[in-house]
Amino acid sequence: MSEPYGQSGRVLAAVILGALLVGSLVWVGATAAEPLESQYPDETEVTPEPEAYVGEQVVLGGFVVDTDPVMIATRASGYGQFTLVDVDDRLQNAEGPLEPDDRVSAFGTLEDESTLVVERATTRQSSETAYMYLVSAIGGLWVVGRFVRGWRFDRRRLAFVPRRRRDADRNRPVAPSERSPTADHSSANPDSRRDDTEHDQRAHTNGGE
Amino acid sequence: MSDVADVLTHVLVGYIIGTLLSIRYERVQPTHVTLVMIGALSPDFVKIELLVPDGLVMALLGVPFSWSPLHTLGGTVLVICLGSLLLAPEYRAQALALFAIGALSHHTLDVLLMTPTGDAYAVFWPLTEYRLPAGGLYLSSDRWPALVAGLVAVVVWSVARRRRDAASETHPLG
Repeated sequence: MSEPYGQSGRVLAAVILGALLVGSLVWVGATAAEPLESQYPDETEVTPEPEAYVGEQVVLGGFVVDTDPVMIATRASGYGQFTLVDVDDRLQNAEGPLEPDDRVSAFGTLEDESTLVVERATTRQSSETAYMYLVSAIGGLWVVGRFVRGWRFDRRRLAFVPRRRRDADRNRPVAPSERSPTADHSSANPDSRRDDTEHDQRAHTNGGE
Repeated sequence: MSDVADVLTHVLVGYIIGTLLSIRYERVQPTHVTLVMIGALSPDFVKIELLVPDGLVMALLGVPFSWSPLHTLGGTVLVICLGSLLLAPEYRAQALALFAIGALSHHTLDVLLMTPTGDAYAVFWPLTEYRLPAGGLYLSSDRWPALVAGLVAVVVWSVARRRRDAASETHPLG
């Protein structure tokens, strides 16, 4: 199938979609309505002027600097200290008590400038964060690997098409570009440089038609 | 930004769903399973933020900026439409459907995450900023979701493999 609206139609569609996407990123950046953040004020707003939020529900993230009573610092420098009342009993994902350096995210009512009465809290240790990054990287690489093995970029059509498989394409007419033995080069092909020159030659021939 | 399930769990769930589809529908091949996995990963493109923070983009471009729409319904629709445009036309409609199935599984899993406020993120943005109550099932740093998904993936993989072997015996030309 050729491009239903030609390559220019495809480019136009991509430009419109891309503009909408970039527009939405700028739009959210310009408004306070962050879809991923909670609707409650968080430590970035509360730490500089806690007195403005006394009596309000806020969510404070930080690390434990003291355990009796539990105190967190919302900034890495150790600045922005808040006492968390009842936090050990309100942890959702762990049995207390918290230990120094544990990461905590606590939601509750700011009783005074430096005291949060906790309703709900979650905690994580720094090793768990490292685990999350590691397995996330593995997940990402797995997908990239599968895509590279399963799909190839057809330079003539300027689009990704499935690599030919023994059984996948038996019902599909073979496009002229795919009949060439170079079309099915795997990523492990040591002759990829020669492949490229042959691709270029073919592109050149097609251009002359 | 802390409230996203780890990427591996999402990708495994995408693999499970894609492979189940390939068992049910013959025209869903392993290359298409990959598309479900990409869809399941796509909302986490928001993690670009870890490499290129909002503030850096703001400083470079001189405009306000936030990556977070990528992790919402609106951003997902735009991203998967753009993604399908990269494929040759005859694969686009199917790719769009497979991307969408994967992305739906991603948002479903992330709404089930545990949050301190008890609310999930505004998944339906920009239609509404309503936040569903969070499922409170797990944290992104928990290990059991990836473990469970991994075990199910292995089971689904072996079932699909057995069926494929059986099919190729019936149709030796396949």
